[in-house]
Amino acid sequence: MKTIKKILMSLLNLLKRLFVPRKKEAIDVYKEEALLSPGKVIAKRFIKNKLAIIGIGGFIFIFLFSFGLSLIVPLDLTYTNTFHRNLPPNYSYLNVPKQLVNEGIVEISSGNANSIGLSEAGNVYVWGANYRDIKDIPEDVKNANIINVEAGSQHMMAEDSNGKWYLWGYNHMNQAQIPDRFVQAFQNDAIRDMFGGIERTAAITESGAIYIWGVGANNIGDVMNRSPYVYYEDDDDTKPQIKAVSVTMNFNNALVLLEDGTIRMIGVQSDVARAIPVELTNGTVNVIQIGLTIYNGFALGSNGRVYVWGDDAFGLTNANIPEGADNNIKSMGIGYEHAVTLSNDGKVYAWGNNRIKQIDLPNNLDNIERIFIDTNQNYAIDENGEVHTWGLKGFLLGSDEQGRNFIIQLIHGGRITLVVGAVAVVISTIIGVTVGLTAGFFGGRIDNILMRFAEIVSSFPFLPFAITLSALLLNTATTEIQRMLMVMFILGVLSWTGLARLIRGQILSERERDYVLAAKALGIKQRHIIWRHVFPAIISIVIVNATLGYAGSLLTEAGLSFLGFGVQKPSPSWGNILTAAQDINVIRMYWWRWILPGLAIIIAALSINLMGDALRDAMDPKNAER
Amino acid sequence: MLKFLIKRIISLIPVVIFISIMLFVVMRSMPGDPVRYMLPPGSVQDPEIYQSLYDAMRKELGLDRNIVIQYFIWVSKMVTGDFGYSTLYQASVNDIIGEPLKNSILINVFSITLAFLISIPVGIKSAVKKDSLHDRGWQIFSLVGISMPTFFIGLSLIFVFALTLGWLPSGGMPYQNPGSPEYIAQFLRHLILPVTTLTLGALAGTIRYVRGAMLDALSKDYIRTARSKGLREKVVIYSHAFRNALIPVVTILGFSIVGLFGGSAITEQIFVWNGIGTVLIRALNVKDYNLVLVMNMFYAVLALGSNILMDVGYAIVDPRVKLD
Repeated sequence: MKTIKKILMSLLNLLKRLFVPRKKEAIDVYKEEALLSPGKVIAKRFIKNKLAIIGIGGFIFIFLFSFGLSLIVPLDLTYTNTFHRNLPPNYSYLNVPKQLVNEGIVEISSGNANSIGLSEAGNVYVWGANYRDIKDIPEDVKNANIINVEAGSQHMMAEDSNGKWYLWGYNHMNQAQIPDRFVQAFQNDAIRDMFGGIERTAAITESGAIYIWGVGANNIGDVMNRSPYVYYEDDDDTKPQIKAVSVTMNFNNALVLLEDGTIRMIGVQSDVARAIPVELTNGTVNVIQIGLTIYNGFALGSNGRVYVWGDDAFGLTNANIPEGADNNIKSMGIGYEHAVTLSNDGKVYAWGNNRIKQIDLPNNLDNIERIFIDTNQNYAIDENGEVHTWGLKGFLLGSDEQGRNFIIQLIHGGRITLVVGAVAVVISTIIGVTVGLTAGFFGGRIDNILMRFAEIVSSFPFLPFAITLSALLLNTATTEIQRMLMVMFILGVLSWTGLARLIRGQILSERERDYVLAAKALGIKQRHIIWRHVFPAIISIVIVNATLGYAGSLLTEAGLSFLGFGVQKPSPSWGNILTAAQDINVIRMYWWRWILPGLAIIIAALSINLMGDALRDAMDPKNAER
Repeated sequence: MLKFLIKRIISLIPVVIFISIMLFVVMRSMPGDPVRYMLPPGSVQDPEIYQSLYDAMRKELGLDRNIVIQYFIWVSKMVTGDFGYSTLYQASVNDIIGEPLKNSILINVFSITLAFLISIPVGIKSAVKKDSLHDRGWQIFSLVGISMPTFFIGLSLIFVFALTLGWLPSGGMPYQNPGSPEYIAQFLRHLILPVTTLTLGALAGTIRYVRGAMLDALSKDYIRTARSKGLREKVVIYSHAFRNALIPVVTILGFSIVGLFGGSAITEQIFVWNGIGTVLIRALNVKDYNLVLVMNMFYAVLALGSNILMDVGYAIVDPRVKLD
């Protein structure tokens, strides 16, 4: 009992000591200063300053963001993805609406950054990034009893129970509307089904003819512009027509599945068009499902076998297919660069490109009944109706004009900006200290010459000279590192004069002090007197100046890079990321591409300025009174 | 006064010569052949005719001479007011520089005036009512302001006032019927956003500076004396403190002129404003070194000139300073 009480008491004490602020004996300021070393006094004053803490917090955040994260996420300068250009910040591509799950999923179809879902109640749901007005489901669609939905790359389609089709979304190639020239044809021969492609739409009519429109539709020479496509037995137009059942498209081709279980290719004579296995076209195999990526074609036979043909791209061809993935297959889903199959015993297999983690299957994929895979978003539904998702979750801070994840650009841009600024400050501090010390300590003619020189350099307007120097020197730099060093060098060389002048002034007063006289009397070498005795006396000025100068050099680097005279692409820096904002469309439509890097610069510069101000106040309390 | 000016200008001559030599040598030692830009290879089919044309052009530009002689020729031309030929504009620099110069001076003079008209009263009030809400507010404003790249201010203004609200043009300049009232109205509309950007960019620094100078002056003994004499607070602040705070304010004014003129290159670029900054950037991009050289000399002379102005300003605001 006693021991327990003892332990409890000690625990209580510990907590008290940890969390209850202790009453301090009040020491008066002068006594305290006498007790503490100057460094400790400064540190104490600094920490007491709330703004300083905000500054430190901000800087640590920026530092961890750019340096910490740059270790985790690598920068791939060559990465481009046309499907993901200029997407707004959104991380909910895979967040299937709860209501849709509750109502029961009939179908899910995905585009570049969105998915459309149809519930058993006939309701349509769209989720993912909100752009191209794609999430604004038309009122007609909301009111109608929808029985079929389909997604194109950036547009959506829905069919109601009366056979009426609704299209909406990105329409710059008229892909999200039925073209006038087909209206008449569709009145006589109603649309049975529609298929979305990359800025294209395909429709199959009741008679089994295929109409394709969208990209290239105005281009008479375009191979996809010969609608309608109609197929006959033995490809002989005197024999009976065979109806088309489904179509899938890539940029140059469209793969068609016909009623008799054979397949055909529309479009240019590409490798994937040439390499179709004969057994798929001559009726040997009864094809039930088809798929098409840029370089590969896929077909699922009624025998449960998966056929893959075409070039060896993205690891999609036969050799890369995981064991069991092409046998005893019930259904198949083909993304932009990956393939997924579902076996008769409910197992899911995936292969192909894993750049966006398309084929990183979740662990608990058992007893799957249906899969919906079109682009990079993957949905699998198990026997309990539970939805499993994997693939592209979205872009937390949006994407840029090359389809790269913008947060990665920001992280690595920050790293480069911070390093360039820091090195520039180090260079300017070294020059400034050396010149200031020399001029101040030796005086006379040396002082005169050095200060005249400093005056000349400081009288240059900074920016024009910096961009001139940069434009000239960048001609001579070849590698990326060299170019970056140039920028640091230019920033450093043009901004040392203020510090030099300040230090010279300090030294002039400092060298008259008794301790310098004593050192001289002791016969200590001049170099030693300067560095060991005088320099420590002015170190505080150097530190404060370097800190404030750091903020300035961040801003200057940003300005230079913004104009294209600083860090050069493809190496990102916050400044050259912002160069994109010279295009008025970027300012108007893609706010994240200029506001976010701008904010990053502001946060970095502001926190450094706060720290610098607090440091100055801590070192020179008289100044803080102001 | 005149004597001082002459003396000061004479003392600057070696500096100008030094700068011009440096600039000249740097420009001439750059890779890239201006003649090739004016006469692209392949523009003439026959290589021999091309070579003769090329040589003639080189001779015309004086590029075949020794670099020292080239320098002297260039300097003598500059002194007589002949700024040479711009390969970018395919015209004499004299002919093309007037318009951009005028435009740049216009936005800079506007914004410097505005910046000081705002920052002097604000700075004084901040210093007098130190730690008041007014002071805190402007302190935060200027702290954020000095941490913000000027071009970000410009982009934000474009986003809000040009793209979202549609009140003002996002950039460019009017070109129809120069001189007509509509032209002037259009011109002024185009002027608002660049001037606001430059003003906001300069304001943060100047307010901080004016406030600091005022606080310094207010802490002096003569202020206490003035107050104890029973002078009205207005008199104390404006005739005693502000008069003394003007000296550092003149310094920052001088620096602002140089800084603004230099920094306005970015603002001009954003707002597609045909000023000297835009000309310099274009000249650099197409390696029109002669134009670059002239522009940089202009900036250097501007900087040195504003140094002299600063000295004169000191003498005007502070009777203790004597110019001789």
